[in-house]
This record gives sequence, C-alpha cells and structure tokens, in this order.
Amino acid sequence: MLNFLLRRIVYMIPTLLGVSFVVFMLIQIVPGNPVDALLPPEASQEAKENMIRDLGLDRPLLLQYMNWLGKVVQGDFGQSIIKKYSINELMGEALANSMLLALASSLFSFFFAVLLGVYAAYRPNSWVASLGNMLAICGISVPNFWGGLILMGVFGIMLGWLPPMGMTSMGGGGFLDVLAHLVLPAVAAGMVTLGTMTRMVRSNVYELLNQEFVLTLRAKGARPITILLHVMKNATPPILTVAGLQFGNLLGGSVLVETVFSWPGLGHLIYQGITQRDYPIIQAGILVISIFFVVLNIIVDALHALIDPKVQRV
Amino acid sequence: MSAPVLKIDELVTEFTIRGQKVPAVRGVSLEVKKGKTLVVLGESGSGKSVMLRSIMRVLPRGAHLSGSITYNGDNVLDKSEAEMRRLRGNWISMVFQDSLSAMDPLFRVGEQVGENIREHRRFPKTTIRDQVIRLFGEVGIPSPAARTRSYPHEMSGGMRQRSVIAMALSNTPDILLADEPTTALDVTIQAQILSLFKQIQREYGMTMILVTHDIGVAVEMADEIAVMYAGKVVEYGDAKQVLGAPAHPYTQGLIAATPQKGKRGRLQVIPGQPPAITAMPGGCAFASRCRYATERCRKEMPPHTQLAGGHMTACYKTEDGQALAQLVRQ
Amino acid sequence: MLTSTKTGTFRFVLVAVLMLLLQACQAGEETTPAGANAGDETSTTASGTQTRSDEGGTDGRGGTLVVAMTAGNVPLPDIVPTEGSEGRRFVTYQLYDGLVRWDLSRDDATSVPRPGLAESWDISEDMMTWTFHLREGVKFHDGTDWNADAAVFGLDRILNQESEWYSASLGGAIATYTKKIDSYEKIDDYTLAIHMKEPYALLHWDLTWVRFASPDAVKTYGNDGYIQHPVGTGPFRFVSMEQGVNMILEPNTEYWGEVPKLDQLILRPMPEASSRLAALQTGEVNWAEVPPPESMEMLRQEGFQVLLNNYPHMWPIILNLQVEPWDNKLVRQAANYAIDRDGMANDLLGGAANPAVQFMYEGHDWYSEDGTTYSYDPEKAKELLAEAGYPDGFETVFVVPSSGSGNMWPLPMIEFLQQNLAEVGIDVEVEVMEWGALIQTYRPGFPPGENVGGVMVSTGSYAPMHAFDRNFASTSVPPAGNNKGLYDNQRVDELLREVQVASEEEFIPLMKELNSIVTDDAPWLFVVHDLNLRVVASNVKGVVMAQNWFIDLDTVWVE
Repeated sequence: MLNFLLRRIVYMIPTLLGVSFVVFMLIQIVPGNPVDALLPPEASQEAKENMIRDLGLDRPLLLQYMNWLGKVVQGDFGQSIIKKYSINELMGEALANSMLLALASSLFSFFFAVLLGVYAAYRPNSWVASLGNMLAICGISVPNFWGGLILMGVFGIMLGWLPPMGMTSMGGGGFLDVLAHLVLPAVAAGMVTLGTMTRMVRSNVYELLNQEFVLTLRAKGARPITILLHVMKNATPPILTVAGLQFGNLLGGSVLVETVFSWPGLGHLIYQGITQRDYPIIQAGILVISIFFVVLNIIVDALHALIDPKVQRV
Repeated sequence: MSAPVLKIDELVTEFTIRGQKVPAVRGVSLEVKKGKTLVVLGESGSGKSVMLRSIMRVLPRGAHLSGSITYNGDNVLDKSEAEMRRLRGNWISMVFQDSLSAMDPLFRVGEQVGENIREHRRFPKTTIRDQVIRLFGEVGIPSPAARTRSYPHEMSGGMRQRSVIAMALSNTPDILLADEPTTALDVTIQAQILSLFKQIQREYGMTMILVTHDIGVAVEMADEIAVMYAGKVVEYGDAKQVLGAPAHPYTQGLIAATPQKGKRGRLQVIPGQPPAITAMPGGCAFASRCRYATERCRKEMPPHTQLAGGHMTACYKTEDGQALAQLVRQ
Repeated sequence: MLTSTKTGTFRFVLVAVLMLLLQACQAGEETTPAGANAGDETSTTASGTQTRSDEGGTDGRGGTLVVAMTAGNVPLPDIVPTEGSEGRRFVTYQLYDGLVRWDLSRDDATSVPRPGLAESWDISEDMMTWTFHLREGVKFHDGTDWNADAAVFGLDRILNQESEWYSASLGGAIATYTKKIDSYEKIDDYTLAIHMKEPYALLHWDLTWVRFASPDAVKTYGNDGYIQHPVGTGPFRFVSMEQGVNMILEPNTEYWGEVPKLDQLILRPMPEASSRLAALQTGEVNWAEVPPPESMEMLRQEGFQVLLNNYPHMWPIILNLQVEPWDNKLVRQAANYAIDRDGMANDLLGGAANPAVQFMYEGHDWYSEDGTTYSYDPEKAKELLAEAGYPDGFETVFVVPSSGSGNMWPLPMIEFLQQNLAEVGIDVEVEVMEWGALIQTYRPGFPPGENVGGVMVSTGSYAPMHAFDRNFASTSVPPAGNNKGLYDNQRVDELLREVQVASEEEFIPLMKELNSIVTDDAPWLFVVHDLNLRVVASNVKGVVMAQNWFIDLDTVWVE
C-alpha cells in the first residue's frame, strides 16, 4: 500500500506541472489583463504601459512561468496583483471556508443520496422512489444559484428560520452560528450532487440486488440487514469514485453559490481573480484545486484497493 | 416405502411481465423421499430452475405462487418471510450453477460460508471458524484453513463449487437443492463434484433435488426422475423406468440426443424450439415438435397417465400399453 | 450573442419571479401604504423620489451602519482602493481627505468642491501656480501631523517616479486627475504650491480624487504592507478587515470637520443584487446599494426608505464616428429620437433612472435650458433618417458588457434599446462581452476594420475636464483619453481651452454651451441617467443623497 501511495504521488507531479503550465499560458490568451482592473476605464495607454512594466508582465512568458514555479516549489504562491496580499494567506482562508462548505454539502448530499437511492432501489414503485427521482431531476437541472435564491427567499426571508447569507452574524462566530449560516448554502451547493448521486446509488444498488450473490444470500436465509451490508459494500467503490469527483466539484465549483450567499470561499476568490485577471490568484487557485482533485483520486483509489481484493495494491 | 419429505402439489409460478401474468411453472406435482435424489431433467426454459427456486421462495419481485409445497407437514407457501428465512439455508439449502457469481466478490470465501451458520445460530466466532475449516475438509478442499481466507476470484472453479457446497451443508440441512451444480465445470471436475454429492448424501442421509439438462448427470445421480417441458412435468418415475423405458416422446428425444457408451451413429436432434412462456399453445406444448402429434394433441392437454410401478406420463400415445411398447423400440 | 442575451433575460426573469414569491408572502402582513412618507419633511424631487432619509425629529446619534456594497470583495484601502468606484465611495472617501472635498451637504444642487485638508487656495494671475493653505492642527489617525511635508510625500507617491514610495498602480489609477500638474513644492510647513503644465483654473475639481495617507504608516509598512494598516485623516478610521467578509470602521473622534454620529460603520461586499436585497430584508444590513430595481415598490411597502437622486452618471452608447452611417450627424440624432427613455426608465427600470434628454441631466448647473433635448419621437427619427439618405434604415453592431460596476442592468436595457431602434429601421446586432475583456478591447478605441457601431461603457461626469475634455476633445482620442468614437468639433476644442482658464462667472455659461453642442452633435446615444439607487432601513436617519458619486456618512445615525 505504501508503495502504491508513493508511486501515485510521484505520478501526480507531471500532471500538476502540466496543469499549471497550460493554465499559465491560457490566461495570457484571454483578452484583458490585471492592469485593466487596477486602472479606471478612462486611464491612458501610457499609464497602462507603465504599470505593465512595473508588474513585470512585459517579460517573456516562459521566464515569468519559471519564476513563478520556482517560488511555488518553495511553497510561496506570491502576491495577488490586485489585492496585494500574500496569496498563501488568501488561499488558506478561502480554502478553509470552502472546505467547510464542501464538507457540509457533501455530508448532506451523500447522506440523503444514499438513503433515497437505496430505498428507491429496494422499492422502485414507492412514493419515496418517485420523490427521489424528482429530486434527482431537479438537482441536476436546476442551476444551483437559482435553487440558492429560492432557499434564501423561503427559509431565510419568508420564514426567517435560517440566516440567508454570510458566514457569521455580526459579532457572532460561535460554532452554532457558523452552523446555522452553513445550512442554506450547503443545501444549495449539494443539490446537484444529491441529484447525481441519488440516481447513481439507485441504479447501482438496483443492479446489485438482481445479482446472483444476492439470491445466494437469500437462499442462505440471510437477514435483510446482512444482505444490505453485502450490497452496500459492493456499491461503495462506484459511489466512492463519484463522491470523490463531486467533493472536488463542491470545493472548487460552488462559485455561484458562494457569490449568492456571500460565502468567502475559494470559488469566489478564483472567480474574482478571473474577472480581474489577477494571474497569480488564478494560477494558485487552479493549482490548489488540481492538487485536491489528484489527491482525492489517490484517496479514492486507495480505498478501492482496500475494499476490492481484485484491485492491485501495488 | 418411506414417506415423502417434500411434496409439491399443483405448483403454479407466475411472473408479471409488463403487467401481464406469465406462468413459468404450470401445475407441477412431485414428491421426494427421505434420503433419495430426485433429478429434474429438462432443457433450459422448461421451468425447472424456477420450480426449484419456488421451493425456497427465492424468486424475483412480482412472482406469484399457488398450489402447495408441503415440508414437515406445513405448506411452505403459507409461511411468513421470517419463517422462510429460518427454513432457508438451515433446513433446505441450495447450490447454484455458477459458483463465481453466486459468491460476493468482496468477501472471503470462509466468511461467506461462516455467514450461513452465523445467520442461523449464535456461535462464538472461533467455533464458526473451526466449523468452516471442518466443512472445507469434508468437501475435499486441500489445506482448508488457508483456503478459507481466499477470495472467490482466487479459487479454481472446482474448489469454488466445493466451497459453495460446503456453504450449503453448513447447517446440515434436510434437503439439498442443486441447480445445475456441474454445468459450469470441466468434465473431470464434474465427476468429482458428483461423487462428492453422493458421498455427502451417504454421510448426511440427505434428500436431494438436482436440476439438470444433462442426462449423464441424471444417469449418475437419480433415484427418481421428473422430466419437465414448458412448465409441466411430462414424465415422472423411477430412474430405471424413465431412462430404460421412456414413455414420453420428449424424454425419448432427449435420450436419443445424448451420446451413450457403446452406441455409435448419428445423434438425433429434436427439431424446433420449445414455446416461449409468453405464448403457450392450448394443447400439449410439445405437439409442434412431436412426430406423433395428432389434432387432439394440439387442442387438449393430455392428462397424466399412470403406468406400471408409479411410472407416470402425460401423452395420448401412452393411453394403451401397446403404443408405449412400440415407441420404446423405435 | 443570442445565448448571452438569453441568459441575461433568464436571470432577470428569475429575479422577478423571486420578487413575486417574496411579495406574495409579505402580502399577509400589515404594510405601510406607498407614499406614507409624503407628508414628512422628507425632501423630494419633482418626480416624487426620496432623496434624503427621514429626519426622525431630533438630531440623534449612534448606531451601527452595515452597508451592502456592490463590490465583489472588501476594497483594499489605499488612497486609491481596489473594487473600483465602489471602493472609492465607501472606503477612501471615508478614511482619507484630499486637499479638496466635495460639498455633499445638499441633495438639491450640483455638487461642487469645498475646502478639505486645504483651508483655502489662491491661483496665480497666469493660472500656472496654485497655492494651498493647509489646515493646521490636523493629525492622521496614527498621530502623524498633517503638513506640507505630508502633502509632498503624498504627491510623491503618485507622481514622482524617483521616489522610494512611488506606486505606479496608484499613480496610474488617478493619472486622469493629475495630468495637468507639472511640479509641486513645500513653501512653508502649511503652504503647498502646485505648478501647472499650462494655465489651468479647474485643479480644485480634479484634486477631489487625490487623497493623502500617513507618511509614517507608509514608511513603516511599505507600499504593499500599508493596505493592512491604512491611516488617513478622514472622518472614519480603520479597525479591521476580513477578506471576503467585511471591513469595520469607527468614527475619528479627532476629526477636523463634523465627527460622524455613528458608533460603527461596517462595509460588506455583496456583488449579487438579490443577495443585497435579502440581506436588507432580514436585517443583516441596514443599507443596500442598488438592489434589483423591480424590488423598489415592495421595499417601500415594507417600510424601507428607497433613496434616489440625480447625479452625473450616464448609461450611453458611445458611437463609432469612423463607420457609416454613424459619421452622419442626422443619423445620430435620429437614433437619439428613437429611444423611449421614459419607457426604459419607468417601465423597465421602475424609476431607478431618469431619461437622458441631454448629456447632463435637467437640474444640473451645466444643463442647457435652451439647447437640444431628445424626446421620444420615432416619426422625427424616420424623417431624419430619410433626410440622411437611409429611409429604409441600416444594420449596425453594438457591444455591451454582461455586467460591471455602474453599468446597471445592461442586458435587459440593450434589448429594450434594440426594439426601439428596430422600430425606426435600425437593426442592431448585440454583442455581449465580459466587462474586463470589453475594457481591454475598447481602451485603445474601436478596433479598426471590425465595423462595430457603438459600445456601452457607463460614464460618470463629475468634474468639468473629466466630463468633457476626456470624452469629447479631439486631443483625447485614445490612448490620450476616452474619445473612442473620434468625435472632432473645433468649437468644442476651443470652448475646452476657454473653460480651463475661465473666471468663476464665465465658467457655468461655457459648460452649458459645451453640453449643448455635444448634445446636439450626438456622438453618443444618451440613454438614461442612473439615479444612484440605494435602500436603507427605516431607522437609518440623516442620509443625504448628494448629486454625486460620493456620499458623506458623517450625518448618518441609526436609531
């Protein structure tokens, strides 16, 4: 297992190098640059050129990339051009906030997806199955910011049960306070995952229930709980794979939800980086998310190997 | 004659396909005596496997059973799911055809065998482990202690089938149901497994119902034989009677289509296909393939006719003994 | 293009549906009837919009004001902040002073400059030297003295490339306002001289944008570290900020002017209009900038104070005078007559804007009472088009941003405009661009050879040169200025030279004439004047909506 992990970690280096290089070059192709965000629209061309020189954006791209890479290898993402902040600090905070949101929405969506999916697979004609189906379709097709707005309107404003936005109340910030603020954005962000996962769990478990070994188990007189245990263990590897991807998506892809709910997370930070062409922020953000995806993949594969004896462990 | 351990009477098993009830088993009556082996012979699609699973009531959703299956004086069809659960794997066990798909790929073989005991008895873990090792030894698995720790995919087909048998034996059941237990195996392994069955039966005094399409297996194993065609038993009797003097044209066809020791010449193939269960003809289901078929056969289902010594068949040709004798010689 | 516009409409509809939802659930509660405030002393304009918050009887004080800004993040508080104009309005105008500040005490008059860190100033006869008499006894929030050295230090930071503390980004960001400055010098501890490159009588307008940071703080933390420890002389002082969450300010009790009445000022970034609305309704904030315009009536009924006032900020289409047929003045006028500005301002935007019948709005000092005004007159538009030789109309392309600070609701608005112009035969193809890309693409002017007829970039016109020279002088074609359409009128150039050296008496008539000529020549489609929509809770008192981008928060308190 240790061997497996070491090898996978070594493999991730070229992947990340590739990602960082492609991102570095791609953001240069997009029109607009940080100077346009720093200067007012009416600023002169001369002021613009001065600033480009000042920021070192006129140097050869490859040189800029190597400089950046050199620092990143030492664990320094440099400084935001627009915010003039240490990106390590900005990223650290945003990442922690996003992790919290991603964990909460994963917890919510994974739990209900498994519950609904398994139930629907056992009782495909029940109303719960229909509800699960509806939720799945809604979750997948309703844009999450729109879902977020509705949740905010209904539970935050109409009913006033939950704080509609932000991470903490004024002067608050205790555990319960953050938890209350977490509910709506977590649900909004988790809906897509809930939809995708419910469908996946349902079809997987349904298929497993028709497997020959389930028949054997029934013929053995196994209790329903024992059968469920077998089915769930078999359903775990595909669920894990999807869950890993979904967690990555929740971490980096909740830009709109973070914006609607004023949640100061990573997606929000990168989105701003993109609109302001804050190159170092974009690079750092995408690299961080890539690292997460790759690490999640390794974790998922490692868990696979633990669960499924047919998967090579070296 | 000993009393039957299991008695099946007018069993009908129907599936619901697209809202329509479709019978897979159409009124089967059978019985099997204590310590004997009943072989149910038939082509695939004849309803023999469904009949076997009906005994355990392990059928897909939407299956509907009627008639009766009497075991120990109770009708199995009247039992609750909880009562059934206590019966399954405990008093009546089953061995499936494909041992690979019959096992959960993610659990060790030993665990899966032990599970059968654990689900019915409260034994300490170590007792269960010892039992499993003992069972592995009994079914002829070499170095049983080590093999209990294997996963299904790590075993050969023969070893795996032995462990499935060990699983079925783990609670020393009254009745062992086997659904094509040797079909997926090589010929030499087949022979080993069959002799294992015989040995078990001797040691445990177990009653067996063995479903197969292979006349060779029937010859080897059967005390009694039931021949099924299109959801019905068309011939039933002592193994010697059925194999030696087959009364039903279908049985004859089956035997003629099987290579036998000492006999040369072309094998005769039964022309045509059995009818689909969704489109059962009104009369004898075999009529369209039967060279003796008359207008009457196509219109009316021939009743069961008792022959000598409990031998029974469902064919108009056998209504007089003459016809039977003629048929046998052809 | 089609998809982008559709997405815009879709979002717009979504917000509208949400509003209905919210409205429906509020219906059961008791609501204050619309216009309940009419009897109060509340000052209103002719159209009945509220331009001040309720006075609340006596002169109160205290409370915490929580502002939902349109900014995407907490503006970083150097003298020119991040987050554009929103940062300037709420952060730098509150933390810092310039030599000159805006007079924001009136809602019924054009905003003009007033003394700030300079108590007074003299202009030399040749208008080449401005002498500023600095306010004495003023201290920065960290105790550093304000004096001529601090002033020189501050100007070095944005103008002197040799200075250790020079910042190209700060300097570049306000270069428009400092480009006439040649040099500056300390005369004595409280006197500063600024020498001009050419005779110039309008420097005080421009200097409202030039503000001063504590030299000690800059030297201690460096230009980069300074933004974590901003120190000015302004009415509020910095307490803390958390990226993405908020910035907290408190009153500067030592302020040389009126000490703010609030106990605390909290600024929160909320780039989504619907989020700002929700925050206001749940009391998370008690002041929201630009909530969705269709929510105005509902908010009024719920007892919120919907504040609107004129200020020099326009939503135009800047035309490309290099391509046919926009090089033809008659065509430009025709298009201006084809716009149903009332419909857009009232039906589409629910009264959040006023029709732009001239470049400057009616009521502004520079509005020309006897100049051309553009009414909604499709018949006249068709006549003018026929006269210009386009009786069957023509096709053109307009580029609009998908969003962006100050750009209001570009997509529904351009669709409305598209329909108006289609009715007189002008077939507009709309191209939607992301705001950052649009700025970059159009900063050097219209890209040659692409045949784009117009581009939407909202524009504020607060100071005279800022309003006219930058946009309409023939010398201001990019990269020198913002005359993207290459408008060229010798009379305008002449007037601009005159106004730069005008006496106080000549000044306003000259500005009126400039406005009149530019309006008549119509180098832009003048669409609507934004009304600076903001909504505050019923207990927020003392708000005065000056006719300016900036606002004084010193007068505000929360009951």
